[in-house]
Parts: sequence; structure tokens; C-alpha cells
Amino acid sequence: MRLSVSLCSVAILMVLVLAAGCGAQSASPSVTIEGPYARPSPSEGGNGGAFMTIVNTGGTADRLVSGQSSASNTVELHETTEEGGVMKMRPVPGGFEIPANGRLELKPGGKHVMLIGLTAPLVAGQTIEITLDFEKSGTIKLEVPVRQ
Amino acid sequence: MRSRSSIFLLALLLLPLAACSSYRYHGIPYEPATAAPPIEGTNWNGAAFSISSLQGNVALVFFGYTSCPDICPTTLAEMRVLHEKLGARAKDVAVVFVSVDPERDTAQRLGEYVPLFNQAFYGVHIEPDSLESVKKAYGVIAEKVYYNPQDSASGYSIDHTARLYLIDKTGKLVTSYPYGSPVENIQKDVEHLLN
Repeated sequence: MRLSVSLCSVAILMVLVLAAGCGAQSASPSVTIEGPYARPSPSEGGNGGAFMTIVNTGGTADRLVSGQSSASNTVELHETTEEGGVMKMRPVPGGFEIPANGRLELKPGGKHVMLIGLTAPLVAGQTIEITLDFEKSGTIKLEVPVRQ
Repeated sequence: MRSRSSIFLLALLLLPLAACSSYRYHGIPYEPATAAPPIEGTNWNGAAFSISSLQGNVALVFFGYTSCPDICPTTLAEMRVLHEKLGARAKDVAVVFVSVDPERDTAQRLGEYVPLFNQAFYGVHIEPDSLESVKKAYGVIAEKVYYNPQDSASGYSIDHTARLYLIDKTGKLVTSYPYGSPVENIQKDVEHLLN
């Protein structure tokens, strides 16, 4: 009887330790967005770019897969790379991975959110809404200031 | 004998000083500096544009297109910062944005785009045939890349050289900078040419 009580205590303790461990490092991704901004673009029907840092404090990776915005007909994920001084921009339909306990910087001359077919010019000082869809974290709505 | 060796020693000491007197640009220099190749086209306000008309000013030339969402507005925003830093002397520094997308970038569209950064900046439309020779003369690569419609709704983008070219007051091409060069470095070179 005494033995079974102590066994039971050990089992409870182990469960508690495991639970504490899970609390310290979540197995699911936890994504937040820092410093989003969009560049001004004066042409209705033209393109614009949005940039930000995506932070994942979770223990597993996540992936930015798509987006929507009332500021443009389409939102796509693109990447600009440099080869011998020539800038090449390509769509990345598979999206961008945000590593576990890591961050991904979306910046001019690198990975970025493309606003295609602007419904109105993007003017410095205004704020636009962009929604980003992550594979595991779901949807995140952003208020994105337009600045130079 | 002694005086001859003293003169030799003195000459040896002065040699590095003479070398120091030539200014070192922060970009990749053109050695020797040669006349900037002609750029003839239409400015965003409809007026005829010629790079030769800018003699007496320092000029910074960039080749880009208005549908470019990142490199081109970033460079123009940096040129705006440069103009702000130069203060009153900015009036002697011309910024020239040459479109490598003449089909979409009409003078009107350039007029919606370039003045947004600074009213004083030039936005130059060049007819496609002439543009080819300008690109070649400046060593600019700019090629249309059509996207798979399943991957993108934007039709095409343009792979393009993102260098910034610095021209002195006499119309000579002195240096060019890669994308991302610090504005402070460009400012130092511009100020050297203004002095």
C-alpha cells in the first residue's frame, strides 16, 4: 500500500514536470510581426511592396503561405536576389519558412510581400490593412503604415 | 653627395603624399573618368531631356521601373535623403531616374511616380530603340522576365542592374555604386565633386 502511494506520487510528479516543460517551450509555432511598413507607390493598378520582421517564438517552424489586402487586387510573396549586380525578382508560390525560435526579415532587396494591382495609390502617411496566412498559426491581421 | 641623398630621401617621403592627393571614391571608379554616354529622352513633365544639359551640376543616374516594389523606391528614397542632407547645395545635384520599362512607364506614369520622392528629380522615358544603346553604353542589363500566370498576377518584372552612376560637373562618369551603398558615402563623394 505504502509502495503504491509513493509510485503514484512519482507518477504525478513526472506529469507535472512534463507539463512544466511544455509550458517553457511550446511545441506549436507562435508568430508575431514586428515593424511592418509599405513603400509609397503612386500608380493605381501598379505594384507595391510591404516589409516586416516575422518572429516565431514557438518550438516548431511555420510558413507564411499567402495574404490578402483591400489595398490591392492580389497579394503575393516574392523574393529579389542579386546576381552580378543584377536584381532579379521572382514569385515564391510556396511561401517563406519562419524557423522554430527564429525570425525572418522581409526587406527591400530580399523576400517581401507584393501588392499587385493597387486599388488606389499608396501615399506616405496612410495605413493599409494586410492579412497574412500562416500554415500553422492561422491568420494575422496587420495595420501597415506607408512610409518612405 | 650628402645633399643628393637628402633630396632623394625627401622625394621618397613626398611620394605617398602625392598619391594621397587623388580622391578615392566610395564606389567603383572609372579610371580614367570618361564622358558620360548620351541619355536623350523625355522628362516626366513632357520636356526634352539630355544628360549633357546637366553640365555644371553633379548628377546621379539610376536605371529602374515604376512597377518595381523594392529596389527602385528604396534607391529613390535614399536619393531624397541625400538631397535633404545636402541642404542648399542640393540644387546643384541632379537625380535622374531612367526607366527600363518604356512600354508601361510613359512620361505620364513617371510623372505620377518620380515627383513623389522629389519634384526636382528627373524621370526619363526613352524610346525602346534608343534605350538599348543607352543600356549598352552604361553597361546596364535590363531584361523582361514573364512569370507563369499560375505563379503571379503581375505579368512580368524586369531583371535590372541596380547601380547608381555618379557624373561630375564636367559631364564625366567618375564612379558607380552597387545597390545598398550607404548614403553617407555617396554624400561624401558628391560633396567632393561640389567643392
